[in-house]
Amino acid sequence: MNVLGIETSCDETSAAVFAAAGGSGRLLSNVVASQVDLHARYGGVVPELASRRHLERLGPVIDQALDDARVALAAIDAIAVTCGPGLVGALAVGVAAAKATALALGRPLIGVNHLEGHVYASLLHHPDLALPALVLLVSGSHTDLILMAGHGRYEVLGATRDDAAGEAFDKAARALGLGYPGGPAIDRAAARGRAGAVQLPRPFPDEHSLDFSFSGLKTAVLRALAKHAPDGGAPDAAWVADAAASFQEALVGVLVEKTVRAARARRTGAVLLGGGVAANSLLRRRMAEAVQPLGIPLHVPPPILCTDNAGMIAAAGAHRLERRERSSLRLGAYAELDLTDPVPETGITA
Amino acid sequence: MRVLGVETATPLASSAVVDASGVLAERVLRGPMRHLEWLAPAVDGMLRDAGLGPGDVEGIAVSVGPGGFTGLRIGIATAAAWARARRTPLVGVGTLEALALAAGPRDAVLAALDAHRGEVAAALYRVPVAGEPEPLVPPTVAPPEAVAAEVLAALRGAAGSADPGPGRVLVVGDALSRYAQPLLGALDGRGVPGPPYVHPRAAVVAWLGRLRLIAGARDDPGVLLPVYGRRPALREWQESPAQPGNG
Ligand SMILES: [Zn+2]
Repeated sequence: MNVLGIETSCDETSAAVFAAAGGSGRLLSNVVASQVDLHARYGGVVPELASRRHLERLGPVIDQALDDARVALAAIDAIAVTCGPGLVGALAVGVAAAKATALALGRPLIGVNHLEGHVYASLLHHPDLALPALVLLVSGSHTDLILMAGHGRYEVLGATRDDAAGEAFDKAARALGLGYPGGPAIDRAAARGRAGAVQLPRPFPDEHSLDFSFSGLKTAVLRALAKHAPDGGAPDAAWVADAAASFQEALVGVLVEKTVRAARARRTGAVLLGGGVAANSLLRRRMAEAVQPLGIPLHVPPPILCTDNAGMIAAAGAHRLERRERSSLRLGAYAELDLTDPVPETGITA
Repeated sequence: MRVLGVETATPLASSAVVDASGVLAERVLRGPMRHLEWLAPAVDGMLRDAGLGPGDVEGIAVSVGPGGFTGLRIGIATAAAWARARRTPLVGVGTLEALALAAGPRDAVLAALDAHRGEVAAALYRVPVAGEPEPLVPPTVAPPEAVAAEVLAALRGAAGSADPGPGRVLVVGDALSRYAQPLLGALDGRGVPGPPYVHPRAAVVAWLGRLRLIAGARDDPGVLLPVYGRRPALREWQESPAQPGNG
């Protein structure tokens, strides 16, 4: 079964073809047209611009995905599309195109939760995953610790109470004058700095909770900056590198510590890392070091599958389609959609 | 040629199928702005009611604005995806020319939609008994007084030529509900408000699109984009992160 995946929830326009085969399968193509450059000068994603660009790019991106997969549109058996969470205007472009394609070709449609897509990005190369698995999903809009009990069965163990990890990276990078997007900028600057050289708190809002809070860490960076350059002048490069390294160490430390604590407590068979921040080199290294003593595998997708992409949507959609789930043509775009929420207008067909 | 028309630029979205005999079916969105949830089931149900399937659609016409940004993108994404999926010929139709055509034959029709923020999206047309509306003032988005001044200048230009030029201007569209006063006032007594039921219906979009498709017009689904309509085309405020506006 060839599944066409479509993803337009934020600032990546993406289409992919997934060849599903009995609970497993293979990505035949995964095309991502990034809008990062478009939004860089605003220091963040501008929703109206993102929607415009999705409309301009989606058609050509779908064509490219079909070409790369050497599959004709007529040979597509089903369409999977991200319907939330995300920017409503951006999601609407993908959902409208997916519904029209499904209707015009008479193919089944499946709406996919973007977060479930990130979970399946880790599963793509490990279909025989030992369940339950613990998933740390870290991106510009999410910082979630998720227990995956089975396919389509999730429990959210912890989430951020304020900024998402990627958002914290963006804000710290902006404060340090390192530009946008913040994750890669901090990662690069930190390579030249000494972690711990700038005193920053480890944000544990509550010792027992698995929730996160990063806004205090960002405030601490601003306070340290004001102390280092009291007259508002530019900080020197060596200090910025130290601050970046210290910030990254503090944030990654919290992510790793809570992940390991949750994996132990729930005796999971594996740990999965997903989302754009999973591309961070320190997080990948520290998580590998911390999970190893648990004697369970850590699965981290390749970078292309960490950031938003339609391959993960097609893979997650394929699993739901194989369980006979279908979405109706009334499928909408949902800004807020929890992983544990049922996808609206979607259910098992007779 | 059997043509599917899609109009989602305005709050009262609609879909229709037309052929040489006229309108075969039409559906109008009921209730508030739910264009995305409504459109695909409406097209599906409308085709079924008319005893048609997706393969019976021989051409697609879509309203390309000016209008609400999100609605426009939903309509165009839908029409373009359909056109790609079935290789169906596609053509874009201006929302204001569809509105003018809906008003009926007349020497001067000012099609004017509420563009919010104190502005109207408007264009002046001569609407013939048969064929396409002929633009006299191209689509602009501006305050109603500025639009009226441009219309008067165009009429004077026409009157100054050998042709005596049109007399009265029929004003139609939902701009009338909020801007009738400034629009008609600035038209120097030459403006006549049209009936409030005149609307850029999908049936008119489909009909105008059908004329163009028969004449050989085609839009590439990969290139067809909305006429967002604010003038200049992209004003700085629209692009600022603080005001990512979605009119
Ligand atoms: Zn994501």
